Amino acid sequence: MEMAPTEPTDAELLRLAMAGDEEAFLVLYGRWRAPAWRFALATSGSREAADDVTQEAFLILLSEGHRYDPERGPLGAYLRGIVRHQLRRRWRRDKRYVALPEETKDSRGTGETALLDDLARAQHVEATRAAVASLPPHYRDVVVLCDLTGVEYAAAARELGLPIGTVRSRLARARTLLARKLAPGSATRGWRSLLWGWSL
Amino acid sequence: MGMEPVSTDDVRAALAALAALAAELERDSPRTHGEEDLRRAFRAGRSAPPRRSRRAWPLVLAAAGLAAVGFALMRPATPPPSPAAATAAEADLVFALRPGESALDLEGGQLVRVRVSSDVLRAMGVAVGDRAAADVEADVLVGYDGVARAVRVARSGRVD
Repeated sequence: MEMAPTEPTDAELLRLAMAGDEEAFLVLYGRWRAPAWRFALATSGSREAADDVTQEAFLILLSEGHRYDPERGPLGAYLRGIVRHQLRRRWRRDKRYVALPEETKDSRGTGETALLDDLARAQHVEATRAAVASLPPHYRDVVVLCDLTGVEYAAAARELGLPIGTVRSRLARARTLLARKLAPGSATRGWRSLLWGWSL
Repeated sequence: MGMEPVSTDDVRAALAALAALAAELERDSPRTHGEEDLRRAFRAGRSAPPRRSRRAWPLVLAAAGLAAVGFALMRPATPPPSPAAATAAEADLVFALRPGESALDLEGGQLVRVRVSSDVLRAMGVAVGDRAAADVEADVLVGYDGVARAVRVARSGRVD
């Protein structure tokens, strides 16, 4: 009986890529680009950040891929770790920004009021995306992994280095925070916090 | 200051919103195609010389230190401001932005060096230091639309 050819595993592809096999690396890229990008988008709420960070993650994988140990977890988790780290670097850099005063920033009538009006008209999905991105990082990580990426609690606990009970409790707390941010009547205050609530 | 209670309906609505977002994410895909960039990076990495061994690091660091000292001795005491080249070298300084925007969102613009009252900068929340002069030099980032997007204290105008 003829055996069907099996797909090479991620670890095999990465090992080949590290040995100089360009096609192996591109297969890996094709396999993980979209999941890594979606994870970056879910975590950051920004397509631009997701685009940049996904590309950076693969460049890092290209130069640091020899550090990956399949015994410690799947490549998807390793890539998510790189994406998470790159996003945090980016946020640390952006946290140095502060708002200009009202008279300076509204020189064309496109100031905060108009911005808030635009945001208030945004789709509910975008509101949820922004609300997730504005969660404190330890809550955001579990929501993105478990609720948005579909990673099981036990795998999320391994990936984040937490007891599974902590994952569950953080998830419950994060959902409560999200409910508060998304609740009707808290829109204006909520949007302000969404804009400025980025934290690490 | 107590937190407002959250109803079961609110939590249920949040879970539904998360499910909708998860479905949306599943349909979403990256816009940019970085395959060619990665291919180039891959080839560049393959053709690059092998990494230096750990033993070479002290020599590399010593050479870098000597180069830095030489550069410091050779350059003029008060270098002229160079706004165009100021971005990377002074990236650690404070920026001020319009809400909801990031400098990364700006497609392009111009950096203009101005003198501005340090009181005004303090009022904006920009750290200028308590001992700053009445006026300090600052770089204003102006977008192509003519709107000021960011301001930072120039290194030469900083008093720490």
